[in-house]
Formats: sequence, C-alpha cells, structure tokens
Amino acid sequence: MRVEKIANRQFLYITVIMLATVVFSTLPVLTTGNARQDAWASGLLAFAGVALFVNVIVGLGVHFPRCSVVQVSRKLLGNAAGGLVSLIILWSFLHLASLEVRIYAEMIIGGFLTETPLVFVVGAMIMVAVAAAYAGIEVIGRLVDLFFPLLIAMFLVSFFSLLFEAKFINLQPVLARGLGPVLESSYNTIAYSSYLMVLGMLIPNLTRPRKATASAFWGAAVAAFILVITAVLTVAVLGPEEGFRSVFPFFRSLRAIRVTEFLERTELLVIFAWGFSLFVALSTFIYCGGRGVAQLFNLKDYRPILLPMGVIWAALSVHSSPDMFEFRGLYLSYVFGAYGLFLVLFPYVFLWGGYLFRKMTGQNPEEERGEEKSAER
Amino acid sequence: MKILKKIRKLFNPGQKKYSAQTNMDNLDISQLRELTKKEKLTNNLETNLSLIRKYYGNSLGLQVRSINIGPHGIRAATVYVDGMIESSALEELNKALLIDTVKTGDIPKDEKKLISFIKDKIIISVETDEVNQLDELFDHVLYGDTALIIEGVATALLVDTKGWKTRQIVESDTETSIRGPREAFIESINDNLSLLRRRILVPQLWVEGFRVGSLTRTRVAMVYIKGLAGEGLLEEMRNRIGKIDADKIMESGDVEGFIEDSPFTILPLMLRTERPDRVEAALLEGQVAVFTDGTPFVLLAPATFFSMLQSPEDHFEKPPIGSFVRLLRYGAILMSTFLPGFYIAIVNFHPEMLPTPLFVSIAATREGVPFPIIVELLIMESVFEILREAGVRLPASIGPAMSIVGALVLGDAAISAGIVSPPVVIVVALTAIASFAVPNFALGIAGRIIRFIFIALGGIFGLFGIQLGIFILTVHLCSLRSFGVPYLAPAAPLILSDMKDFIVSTWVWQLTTRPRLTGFREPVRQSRRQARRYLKILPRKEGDEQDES
Repeated sequence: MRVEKIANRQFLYITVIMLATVVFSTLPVLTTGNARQDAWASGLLAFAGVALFVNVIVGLGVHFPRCSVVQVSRKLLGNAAGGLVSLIILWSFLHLASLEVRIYAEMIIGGFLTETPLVFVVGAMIMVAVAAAYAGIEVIGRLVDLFFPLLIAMFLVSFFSLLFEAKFINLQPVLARGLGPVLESSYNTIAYSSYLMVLGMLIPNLTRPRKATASAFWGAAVAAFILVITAVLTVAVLGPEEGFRSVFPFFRSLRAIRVTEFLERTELLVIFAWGFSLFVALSTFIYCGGRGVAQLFNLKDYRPILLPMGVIWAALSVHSSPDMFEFRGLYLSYVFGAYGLFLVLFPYVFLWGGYLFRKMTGQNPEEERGEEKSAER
Repeated sequence: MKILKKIRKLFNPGQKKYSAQTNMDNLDISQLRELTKKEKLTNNLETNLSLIRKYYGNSLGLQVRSINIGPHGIRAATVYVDGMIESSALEELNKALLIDTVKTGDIPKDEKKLISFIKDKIIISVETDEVNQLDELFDHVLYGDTALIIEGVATALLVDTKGWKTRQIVESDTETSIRGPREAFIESINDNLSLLRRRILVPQLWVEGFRVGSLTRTRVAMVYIKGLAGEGLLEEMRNRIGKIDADKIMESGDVEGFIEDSPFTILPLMLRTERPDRVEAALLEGQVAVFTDGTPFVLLAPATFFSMLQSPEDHFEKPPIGSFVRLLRYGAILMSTFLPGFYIAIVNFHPEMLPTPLFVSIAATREGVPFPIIVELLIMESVFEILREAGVRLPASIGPAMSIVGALVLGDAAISAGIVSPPVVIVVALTAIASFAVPNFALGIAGRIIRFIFIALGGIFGLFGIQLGIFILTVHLCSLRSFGVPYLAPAAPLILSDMKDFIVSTWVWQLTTRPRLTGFREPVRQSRRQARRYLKILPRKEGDEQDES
C-alpha cells in the first residue's frame, strides 16, 4: 500500500489544533493550581515543558523516519516488551480522545441541547471523526489546511471582542506570590503534552520526517502563544477569582461580551472553533489509534477496525464518569497532571532507554539516511 | 446416431454457427456487428456492392452510382448516404472521375496503380483514405464520406464529402458573459474544434480522436497542448476513454459518467462548458478537454471546486471588480447551501443568538402559522424547486403567467393566508437567487440538494447538526479527487503560489505561474519582469534576461 503523505505544514497545524483544544475546554493554567492572575506566566512555563516533551516524543521519532512509534518500540524493545509499551501509548489515544469528546459533549448539552442524551452527541462526534479517519491522513491533512485559517480567524475575532471588556488591572499584582503557584498551575498543562504522542504515529507520513521536530516545536509555540493571550484576556475580563471558578473560562468570558446590539454572543464562534479543533483532534486520535492497533497486530489495513474502535471510544467516553462534577475531578492537577505525565514518561523512558542502550552497545538502531533520501525522491 | 447427436448437443448447447449466408432476420444486433467486423472487401465490384446492400438492407438513404472510369471504361461505383454529404463536393468528385480520367488518357491498367493514380492525381478532395474492411467503410460512409469501389480492387477509396446542416454559432444561453467572446460551441465536433483551433495557433494543440459507443460510434476527441499537459494525465484520460464500453454516447454526460473519478458524489468532478474561451484558458493551464460529437458541452479535467466558481472573464475586468464578483460567488454558494439550515437551527433551537428585536419580529410573523418551521421551509423549498424545473420546460409564451402564479399566488397569497411566514419566503428567495449566482449549473444544483440535508440536520439537531453536516461535507470534499488533483486545491492542500488567483483575482501581469498541480511542466507562464515594471519596487536582476529567452 502506498504510504499516505502529509506536508510538514499540515503536521504543524495538527500540533497547534491538538493543543488548542486545551484552550477551549478547561484552560488549565487558570482553573487548576493557584496561579490566578499569573496564569499567563504558567502558560509560558507550560510552553517550556511542552517543548521539552516535543523533543522527547518527536525527537525519538525523527531517528526512524519510516516507522511509527509502535514499530519503533518493537524495534527497540523487542516484540513482547515493545508491544506492551505501545499498548500504553494506544491506551492514551483511546482515553484522551474519549475525555476530550466528553468535555465537549457536556458543554453542548449543558449550554444548548439540554434534552439530548449524552450518547448521541458523543456518538455523533466520534462517528464523524471515524469517517474522517477512514478517509485517511491525507484527507485529515487537507481538512486541517482548510480549518486552520478559520480557526485563527475565530481566535482573532474573539480576542478582538474580548478587548472591549478587558480590564487589565485584573492582572495585577504580577507574580506577587512568587513562582510556586505559577509552577503548580503549569504542571497540569504540561501533562497535556501526552496529546502530542499522536505525532509519533504521524512521522512516517511526513514528506520531510527529519524536519518533524522543528514543525512540532513551532506548532507548540503557536499554541502557547494562543494560550497565553487567552489567559491574559480571560483574566482581564472575568477577574482571577471568577475565572478560576468557571468550568469553561474562555467560553464564559466571551459570554460576558456585549459590545453592541449586533456583536453579542460571540461565544458561538468559540463553540464552532472548538468543534472544528475537536473534530480534527478526534480524527487524528482515531486514525493514529487504528493505525497503531493495526500495526501492533500486523493487520493489513486499519480501516475495518475503525468502526468497532469508535464504538469502544464512545462507550468509554459515556461511561468513564457518571456526571460532569465527577468528571471534573479527573482534571484536578494531582490527578490529570500525574496521569498525563505518566502516559508520556513511562513509554518514552523505556523507548529512549532502549535507543541509548542500543546506541551504546553499538547496534546502530537508526535507519540509514541514504536509503531514506533515495526513497524521498 | 440420434443418441450421439443428442449427447453432442448436451455438451455444447448454446453454440449456433452462423455464416454470412444466414438470414438477417434471425440475427441480433451484436451478432450483426460481429459479422460486419469480419467482412472484407473483395476484388469483385458486384460482390462488394451486394455485401454493402446486404448489411445496409433495404433502408433508405444509401446511394450507389455506377460509373465508368477512364478511356477504357473501368467499372466502378460511388457509395454515399443521402443527406450526409455536400452535393457540390460529390459533383466535383463525379466530374473528376467521369471527365478528368478520360481527358488524361494514360490511365494505368494495373489495379494497385490505378487506385493510387486516382487518389494522387484525380481527386481534388482534401482528405482521402483507403480501407478494405467493411465496418471501417461503414464508419466513414455513414459519417458523410463517399466510398469509391473499383472493379478488380479489394480496397475502397474514401473521399471526404461531409456536409450537413448545423446550427448557427450563437451566444450560449447557460454561460453568458458581460465582457468577453460571445460565441459558443454547437453540436458539431468539427465546428467546435475549429472554434478552439482559431484561438490557439500553435501546432502543439493536439487532438486525439476516438470512436466510442458500439452502436452510436460517436466521435470523441481529447484535446490538449502537447508539452504542457502532464503525460500521466494524458495517459490516464486515454485509458479511461478507451475503456468505455457502452452502446451509446449521446452527450458529454455519458462520457463524464464513464471517466470521472468517483461516481458516488453529487458534486461535478469535471467542468463542463460551452465557451471556447473557457476551454482555451483551461488548456493553457495544462488541463485536458474532451469534445463529444453531438453536444455543445465540452468537458475539462482535472477540475477543482474553486475552478467551478471562476470564469475567464474575471480577468477581463479590472482586478478589484473581478475579485468582488468572485467573492460574491463564494458568498452565494455558501448562502445557497447553508442559509435555510442556519435559519431553522437558530430560530428553532438557539433563539437567544438573535438580537432580541429581530427574534421578536420573527416570532410575531410566525404566529398563526399552522406548521412547524421545518415543514414550512421544506414546503417552500420544494415549491421553489418545482417552479424552477417547470420554468426550464416552459414554452416562452407561458413564462409571464408562470411568474404571476409563482410570485402572487404562492408567495403573497400563502403569506396572507397564514400558511407560511414571511421570513421563510425571504430565506427561500435569497437561497434561490444565490444558487443561480453560482456560474456552474451542476455545482449550483448540488448545493441546492445538499441544502435539503442541512435543513433536516438543522431542524433536528440545531447548530450541532449543522456542524456535523459541515464536517461530513468537508471530509467528503477533501477526499474527492479529479484525475489525481485534490478537489479543494489550492485551499486544501494549501498551495501558496496558486493563491493569488484563488479567492481574489489579481492583475494579469501578476499571474506569472500556472497552477502547480496541472501546469507543473512549464510553471512559468510569463516573465516576471513586466510585474516589476509596474510595481517598481523589485530590483532587476542579472538572471532575468535569460528568463525571458
């Protein structure tokens, strides 16, 4: 089968969009930890952490430009251990995606379709994403090309309208309580880099896989930029305390905007933007999950297992917690922070360990460069 | 012995042996066609003529005129079909054969030499050809050529005497332009090709002919600029046209159905046009045109979604005007697809999104309307579609009556009777007008059908449903390809160099490159130096002199 190719630009967009869903949903720099008005500083710190993890995740992948992380782990750790490690990665796709769609569904049901059963919203989103994953990563890449400008435009419009109500006095005092609370708040956001493990699956699909680290890094930078601006504006509009207490702070702050008769309810834009980015994130998760499972069990094609996997996804999403309050408990920093970091660190410690071990013992684990270059042509 | 025969019958029951002597009445069309393909011309004039007569039967139109050629009176016959020939050309031919051959005197007696002598020295007609197969002879004679069959020669000489009535070349009804050439294609492929050839005056404008359809034997031509269109694309097109196995090709739609990439989409994957300038513009960007005899519509491939929303005349006006018109079209197709869906979603599910006074006035007009809003919208949209379809079929004289019925009875009376609310009528009218602003009819009607899906989604699930619909639609659009080119190029995948002629149009001297996916063989279409002359900001470089040469 021909390997589907996406451009590094599309890879960058996917990185941005995966991380941007964080901004839409809980805005963890503000709602977790104790940073309050210094949430922007946590955002910057989180960027440093995410950039580190980008290097951990994608940095290993670029040594194997034609292997996904599942294949890499079997190469480095052997079939059995490698399989087990990649199972954790695949589990992370499953669980993170189901959490992500659950938050969105809760927002839709809480805010708009109050009578609709949860399983419908979750199921519909997942089925649509399965359709996109079925079409392949090239199609997802083109979707991203189409949605990314719209997403940026929506961000710009919402930032612009937030400026009308922003009281920047809310941001003071700056770093009054030292760096401790700032660090605490950034911890949870850094754990979101577990989302970026999909990038390890996508590296063999890139047109220039050796440049993947740079693309992912710039993607993370753009996402961090959006995160910091959102944090600043949300705090400026809502004030640190109300921002901390609200469930969806960005959404909540836009709801407070009423510039004129006509420019009200701009949160509609955010809901659409969130829907777009969730859709892209979900289809990437499902695509990577399907591909990963197919590679793990040596299936020829990943497409036939997408639909059953989608059903599992939806079931997990609906049944993972009974209601929104318990669900939010998962996002407390000592739960999600630890969980997310575990999901990244556990497999990648083994993978890097295996890589370095092989390097030191002289069994060159890397793929030949020359070979790959001729393939690129 | 009887038993033996029966056993033999058991083993090959269906095999009927038929020969040329079989009675024609018992043969089906495919058997007849098979037989025609097997027949060859013989040395004997009488046999040849009776062979032709046998297959053409008693039907009218076939004319056989016996003549004697040369001073020695070699027996020969011309065969042609009435009404397909130009009589002056036939007269010329007869004159040449009857009189000129006698005058020259030194006519060779050897048959082989005779036919080349006639071909080279006697016949004035531009196009001559030699055939010895019966079906080839019919292919030509039925398309207006005259066959000259000579006693003692197993080859027929075909002389081009085509001539029949064609329609006048007039302006296109479906693709009108404000500025730009007015002439449009007609039903004759030769005239159409000549319309195009007049516009591209290089020998690299190549035309490859095909005969498609086992019974209609329609002429299909694939036109491209050699060296500009990608060879892979040409090979693919050649293959797909060659593989068409149909009994009829009546219109370019038949060809399109056989060669398009994915049949299960309502969106057009090839661009159809009636305008030579459009074909010219497409060929110059490395696309391929497919002409079909008997229809004014020419297919262009590969086509993209955005190319359907463009028109060559966008560049004939000043760029700001062209850009404005183009943006209007983009807005129009979005509106014609999504507006009713959004209306129903917002009014039904999210009334808080509207400014309060607006919502109050909408609610006031809906008071007393007996239907739910989705039924109301579906009724009005269906009524409009019926009106549109009826309008296409209507004789021109009934048109005004129709518009009175449509506007007064259905619009005004329905509102005053309280059956529908005025906002719904406004929405339906807006979408109708917007859908006609889409320059490509096939795309416009696809948008109108998708609109019904969005009405259902919006009416059942609100904005969430609309969003789901948009996702599915985008996945579908992104996964489509037309002859290898992604349907949404250059937006998805993003191709920056093609962007300058994408959403807005730009000055013609700035269009220095061809679209990358089709015109990749010769990406630079004109020198960049002209642009520098106008902009006066870019320094002139040494290398530019070579660029132009």
